Amino acid sequence: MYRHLILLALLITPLALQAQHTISGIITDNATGETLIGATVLDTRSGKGTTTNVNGRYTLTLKENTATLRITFVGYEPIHDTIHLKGNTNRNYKLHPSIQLQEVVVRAQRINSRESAQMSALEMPVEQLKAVPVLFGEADIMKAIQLLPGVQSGNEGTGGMYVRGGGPDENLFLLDGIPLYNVNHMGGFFSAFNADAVKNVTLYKGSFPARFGGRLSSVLDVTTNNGNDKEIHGNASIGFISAKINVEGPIVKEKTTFCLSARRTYADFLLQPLVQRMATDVDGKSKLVAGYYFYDLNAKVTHKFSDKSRLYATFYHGNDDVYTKVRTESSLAEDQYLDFANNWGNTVGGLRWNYVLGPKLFMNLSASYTQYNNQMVVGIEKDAVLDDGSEQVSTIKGNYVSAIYDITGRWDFSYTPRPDHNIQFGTYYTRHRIRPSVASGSIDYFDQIQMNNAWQMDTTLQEDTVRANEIVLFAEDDWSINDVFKINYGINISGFGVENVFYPSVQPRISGRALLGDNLSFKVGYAYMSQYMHLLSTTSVSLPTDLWVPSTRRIPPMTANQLAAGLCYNTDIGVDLSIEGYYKHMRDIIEYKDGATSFGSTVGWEELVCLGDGWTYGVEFLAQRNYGDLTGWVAYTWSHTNHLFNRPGQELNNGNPFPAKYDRRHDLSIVLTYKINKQIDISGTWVFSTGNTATLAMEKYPVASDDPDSYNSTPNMTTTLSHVSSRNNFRMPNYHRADISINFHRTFKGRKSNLPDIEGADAPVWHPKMRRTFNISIYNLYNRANPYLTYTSSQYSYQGYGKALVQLSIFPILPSVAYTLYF
Amino acid sequence: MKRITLISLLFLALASCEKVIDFDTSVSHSEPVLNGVPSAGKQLFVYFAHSRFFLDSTNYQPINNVDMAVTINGTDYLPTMVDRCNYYFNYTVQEDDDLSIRILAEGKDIYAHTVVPRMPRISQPIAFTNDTGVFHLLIVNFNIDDYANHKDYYCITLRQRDSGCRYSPYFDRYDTIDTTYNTFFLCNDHALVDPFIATNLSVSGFSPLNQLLTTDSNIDGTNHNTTLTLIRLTDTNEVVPYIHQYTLDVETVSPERYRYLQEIANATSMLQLITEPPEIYSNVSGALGIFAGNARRTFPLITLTGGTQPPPEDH
Repeated sequence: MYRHLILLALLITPLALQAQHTISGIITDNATGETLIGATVLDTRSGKGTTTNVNGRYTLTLKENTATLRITFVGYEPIHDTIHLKGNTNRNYKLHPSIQLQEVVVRAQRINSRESAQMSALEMPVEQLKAVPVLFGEADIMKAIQLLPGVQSGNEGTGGMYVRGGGPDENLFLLDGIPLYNVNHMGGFFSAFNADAVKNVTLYKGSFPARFGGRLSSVLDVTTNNGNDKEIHGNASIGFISAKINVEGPIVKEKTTFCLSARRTYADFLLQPLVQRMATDVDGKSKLVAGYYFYDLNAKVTHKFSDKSRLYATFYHGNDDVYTKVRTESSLAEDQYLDFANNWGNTVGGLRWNYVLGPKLFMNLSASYTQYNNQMVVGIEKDAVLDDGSEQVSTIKGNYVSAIYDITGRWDFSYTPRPDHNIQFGTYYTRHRIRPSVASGSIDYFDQIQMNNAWQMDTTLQEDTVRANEIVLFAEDDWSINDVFKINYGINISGFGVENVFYPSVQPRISGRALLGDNLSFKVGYAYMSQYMHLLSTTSVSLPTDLWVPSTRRIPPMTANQLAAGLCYNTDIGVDLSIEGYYKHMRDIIEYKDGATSFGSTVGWEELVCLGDGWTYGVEFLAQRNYGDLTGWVAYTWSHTNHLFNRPGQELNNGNPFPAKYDRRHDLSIVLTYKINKQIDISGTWVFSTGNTATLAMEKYPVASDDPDSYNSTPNMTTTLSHVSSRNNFRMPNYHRADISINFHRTFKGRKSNLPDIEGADAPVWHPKMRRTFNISIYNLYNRANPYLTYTSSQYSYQGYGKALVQLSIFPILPSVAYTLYF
Repeated sequence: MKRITLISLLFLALASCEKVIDFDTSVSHSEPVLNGVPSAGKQLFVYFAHSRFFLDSTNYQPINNVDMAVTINGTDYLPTMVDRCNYYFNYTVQEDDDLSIRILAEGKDIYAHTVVPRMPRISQPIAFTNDTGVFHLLIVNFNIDDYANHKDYYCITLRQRDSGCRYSPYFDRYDTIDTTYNTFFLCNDHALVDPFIATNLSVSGFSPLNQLLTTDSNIDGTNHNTTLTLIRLTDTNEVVPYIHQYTLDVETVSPERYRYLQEIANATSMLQLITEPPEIYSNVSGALGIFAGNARRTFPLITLTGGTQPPPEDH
C-alpha cells in the first residue's frame, strides 16, 4: 500500500512546481444555462485539449502565450476563440444548440473518445437513450443501458442490470453522486430514473477510476439537470400507465435555478371499478379496495454565489405501494377486515458545494443521506357480536421491515498542474445503519367457542440492526505521457468496520491507451474492487423479498479482479468501432442455500447463505454512430459466467462449478434512430440473447414410507420428490424481440431574441414558444412469445393426457401512445 | 384515455400466453432410488427402483439383476420376496435394531445404515367434538411419556378417512369417495412447536404432508400433555350420511428420517416458489432416497357423520 502512495506522491509533486498559463472556466448551454458535461476544449495550435467534468468545468494549462481554442459539444455550434495569455485566465463559454450538426463538431468529439485513457466506459447522449423504444412507451434510461455491450437485462421487460457476469447488486447507481440502493419500480419493469430529469449518464464496466468504489461490476453515474437559469421551461406528458411533469427555471435569474420532476402511475385509479366488481359477495356487502402505484420526485436547486462558488441541493424520493383492504360482513354477525400493504423505495438528499480554489484546483464538499426502506404490513381484524350483545374484537397484525440508512460526507479535489496531468483525490466517510430483516407480530384472538382470549402475543423477530462505518481515500491521475501513450492510474483505499471487525482494502486501478494511428487506439486496464453491501435475492425478478445485507463478522466483503483489453477504431464514415475482451474473478460472493429464503424465516440471514467464488470472461463489440440523421449502435457480447461454492459446509451443486443465473453465451442489440425530417423521427431496436438458465428438477422419485402399498398408488405432489442433478441445468429458449417507436414533433410559433454568446458578444437565438411530441410505440413488433417463466403442466395431445414443460410469455405485441408538451 | 388504458391492460392480461417447450429428454439420466423405513413391529421391506423423468407420467420402473442384503444386529438377511419394486425380508423389525443395507446393481455399490427408535409411550388419546352447524371442531388430548436422557424425535399425524357420496357441481354428478389423507390441524403447544409458529395459529410443519415434526428438547423425560385441534368446515356437497374417520399416528423417528421429513416440509412450502429447488436429504450412498427407521403407534379416535344434501334417488 505504502509503495503505491509514495509513487503517487513522487509523480504529483514536481508537476506542481512548473509554471504554466492556465485557462479555466465553465461551459454552458446558451439557451438554458445548463452546464455541459464532456464538452471538448482544444487548443488547435498545440493540439492540447481537455473535456469538461461533471460540473461543466474545464482546466487547460498551456506553455504558449497565445491559445486558439475550439470548444465543441455534440448538438451545439462550435466556438472558436483566440486568447493572449499573460497569466492564468478564467473563460466561460456558452454554446448554442445546433439543429444541423457540422462534421467538425463530431470529429472533435470522436477524437476525444478515442484518445481517452479510460476503457470499459460508455457515455451515451441522453437524448439517444431516451429515443430507444421501450415497454409502454415510457422512456427509460436503464432499459436503454441494457442494450449496451456487456450489459444484460433480467427477465422480460425488467430493469435488472447484469454487467460482465455480475449480479444486480454489484452495480453502483449514483444520482448526482449519491448512491441509490433500489433503482426499480414495479418489480423492475420501470427504473427509478425519470428520464426527464437526467442530464448525463456514464457507465463504467471495468477499469474503474479510483474515485469510485464499493461495487464489483459497474458504476452508473447519473447527473440530473441543474435547471434553466433564464426562464421557466418544462414539459408534461401523459402515457400508457403514467403521467409526469418536469419544470425548471430560475429562482433568481442566472443565480439560482431549480429543476423539479414528478411521475406517478395511475393504473390503480383506472382499475378500481374492476377491483370492486371482483369483491361482490353473496349479500353484496363485501368491499375491496386494492391497487398498485409508484411515484418518484426529483428536485434540484443550484445556487451560483460567484463564478468560483456554487451550491447544489439534490433530493429524490421514489416509492412503490401495493395495498389491499377487504371488509367482509358474514352471516355470523361478524365483520372481518383484512389490510395488506407493501411499500418500498428510496429517499436521498444531498448538498454539494463546488468551489474553485485556483485556476488549477477546485474542490467539492458534500454531505448526503440515503434511505432504502421496504415495509410490509398485514392486519386482520374480526369484530364479533356475542349472544349477550357485547362486541369482541380479535386482531392479528404482522409487520416486516428491511431498511438501510446511510449518511455520507465527502471532500474531493481536482487538480490540473499541467495539460498532461489531471489529478483527482479525496476522501469520504459513510455511516451505515442496516436493518436487514425485522419481523414483528401481535395477536389478540378471542375464541368464541371457549369464550376466552385464546391467543395473545406481541413479539419481534430478527431485530438485528447492524451499524457499520466505511471510510475511503482515493487519488487518481489522468496522465498523457506523450502523443501516443496515456494512462489513468490511481488507488482507492477503503475500510469497513462492522461488529468489531475491520476489513481494509487497497484497490489499485490502472488503464491506458496507445494510439496506433490516426484512427486506431489500443486500450488495457486493470481494477481491483471491494464490495461491502450485498443483495440477497431468490429470483430473477426484483421483488420486495430481496434483502440488502452488509458484510459482517461472518460474511467478508466480496472482491473482484478484472483485466480488460481492447481496440477502438474511428471509421471515416462516422462510425466508431470498439472491441474489448475481459476476465473477472470474484471472491466471497454470496448466494442463498438451496431452498432458502430469509422471507418468513425464523433464523438469521447469515445462516441461510453460502460463500463462494465466480469467474466470468467475454468479448464485447460495439459499432456506434452518434450524429447525423441516422444514429444508433450495434452491440454484441459473447460471455461465460460460472460460480463455484465448494467451501466446507457451504457447498452448492455438490461443490461443483455451475453457470450463473445470467450466464448467456450471446447477446445482440441493434438500436437505430432515423430522423426523417424536423417533424418525424423513427427508432427501432432488435435484441437477441441466449435463454436464461434455470434449475430444473428432472427426475422424480417417491417419498419413503413404511407402508408398502403407498408405492403402488398414483404418484402425486405429496408422494413425489424431485431430484436436482445440478444447479442452472436448464436453458430457456432464446429471446428475441423487435420494438419500434415514431415521434411526431410540432413546434408552435416562437420568437427570436438576442442573448449573450461568449461573454460580451451577442448572437441571435431561436426561442420556440411551445412544442409537442406525439409518440407511438410498438413493443414486441412481431409478437414473439418470449419465455418469462416455465412450469410443468398437464397437456392433452392425440396420445392422451401427458405432462409438458410450458413457458409463460407475458408481453405480446403491445402498442402504446404518449403525448408530451414542452413549454 | 381511461377506456383505452383499461382495454389495453385487459388485452395485456388476456394475451399473456402459454406455450409448450420442446424438451430434449436426453439431458436427463435415471437414478436408482432406495427407500426403506424399517418400522418396529412390522415386516422389513425396502423399495428399490429407477427414478423417472419429470414429464413422464408412467409408473416407476424396477431395477433388474439386483444383489441385495440387509445386516441386522450383525446377521445378514436376503430378500425372500420381490413384488415389482418392493423387496421383502423374512424379519420383523424390533426397537433398537441396528440395520445396514448393501445393494449391487447396474455397476453401483449402494449402502445405507440406520437404527430403529423405541416405540413412543403415548396415553390413550381423548377426542371430543363440537358441531356449531357451520363447522366441526375436533379436539384431541393425549400424553407423551418421553424417554429420559435420550434424544427423541417425533412425527405426529392426524389421518382422516372420508367415505360416502359427494356432489360435484362442476360435472353435475355424484361421486363415491373413499380416501385417506393426513389432515391439517392446529397445535399451539409451545413445548412442541416454535412459539412464533404456534401462536400464529399454525401447525403441522407448513407442509402438504401435514405432519407435526418435533423433538423432546422441551419435554425430555416428562409426561407431557398436549392438545391438537382440527377445524373442519361443513361441506355442503356431501351427501347424507357422509363418514369421516379420524386416526392419530405418533411416530418416533430416527434422526435421519426426522431431517428427511423436515426437508420435505420445507421443500413443499409456498415460499419454495421463489427459491432454488432443494435436493432432499439422503443417507444412502450411491442412490437417491432414505433408509431410516421409525416406530409408530396408531389410535382410532372418532367417527363423525356429515352431509347436508339428500341422497340421490339412483344412488
